[in-house]
Amino acid sequence: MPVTDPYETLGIARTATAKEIKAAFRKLTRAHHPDLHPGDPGAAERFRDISVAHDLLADPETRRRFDAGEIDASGAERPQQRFYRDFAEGSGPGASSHARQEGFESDVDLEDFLSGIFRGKTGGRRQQKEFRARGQDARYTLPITFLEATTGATRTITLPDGHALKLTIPEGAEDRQLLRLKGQGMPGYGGGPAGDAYVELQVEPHAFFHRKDDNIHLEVPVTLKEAVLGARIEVPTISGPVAVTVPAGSNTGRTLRLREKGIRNRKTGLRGHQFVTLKVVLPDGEEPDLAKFLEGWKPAHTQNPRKEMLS
Amino acid sequence: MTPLDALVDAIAALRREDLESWVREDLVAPLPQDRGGETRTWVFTESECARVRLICTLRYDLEIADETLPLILSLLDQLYDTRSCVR
Repeated sequence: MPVTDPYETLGIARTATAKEIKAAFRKLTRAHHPDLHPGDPGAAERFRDISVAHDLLADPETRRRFDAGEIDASGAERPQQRFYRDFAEGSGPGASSHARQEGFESDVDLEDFLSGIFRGKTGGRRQQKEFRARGQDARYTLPITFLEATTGATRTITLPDGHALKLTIPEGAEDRQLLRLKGQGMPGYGGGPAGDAYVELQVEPHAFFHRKDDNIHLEVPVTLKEAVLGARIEVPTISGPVAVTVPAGSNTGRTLRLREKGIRNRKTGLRGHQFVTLKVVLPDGEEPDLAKFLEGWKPAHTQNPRKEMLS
Repeated sequence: MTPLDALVDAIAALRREDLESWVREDLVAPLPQDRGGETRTWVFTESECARVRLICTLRYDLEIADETLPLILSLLDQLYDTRSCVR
């Protein structure tokens, strides 16, 4: 779907009030809703664009984020919707007519006349047919920890109907990833097959680790002494602690790369890296010796770290 | 097939009591489903789900009054019926 400007789609100014948005949406719904225009093949697509634009702008929060450039117009994309007109006119198993039962039958028997010519009558609305249908798909969400997502895990989940399922969370699972469990949805009707279950993973954020694609980012505090003199320190990774050499004279913000300590990419099989950003911290308690040393300290180079700010 | 509860969950704007009153007024016709004993509920075919969405658009977005809704729907139904006849 081409991403168009939602303001343009609704034909309103960027300064439009909530009331104006609603009014524009109503007008366009009347003009383009496919169920109100059954003969117009382009209506479904136009109405979908209109709905997407409205979804985005009707919520003040998403509208603010769109205006600020944080999300684009596809941020509110909706799944394909089947409109009523797709069913109302058909003659398949789902076809139905609401008109016939409501006392609006026309006196002129146009319908019988025409259907006699073209084909058999379509089923009346109230007629209960032999019903056979695939069961409904079920959707669940499963919160998992950051580490379960990065290294993979098996979890046993209990479905609402009481039966337990073993679920394999793949290595490097992503937030909002969907796992499909075939045939574990709602039972079918009249001998139809069961639907599928979809489990959406919700990865909880980690206190220290942050993920970016297949890489892990981590901020690690080092003492003043370790930073100035260099040291060998222990750093956590998603697969356990590793020893890392901090070079002498490492400043805050220096980033060290731990090769292949990130997440294994399931497609390429390659592991990402872990990036460790150092942060120099001063001693916790008072250090009179350090203070005394600094008082008498004559730096070899004069330094003004704020020079660029003040020039 | 979608149970009533799931349909109410799926459509953000839809209020349960509205849907129940539309069922009572025959604006939508779900299939009854017995869940053993006295609990009786409804399931909606895909076609009826789409019809409920249409009614939601008419009722909530276009703010068509409850009293006018059946009239609009019956006109639409006649339109669809006629179209399916002449097709």
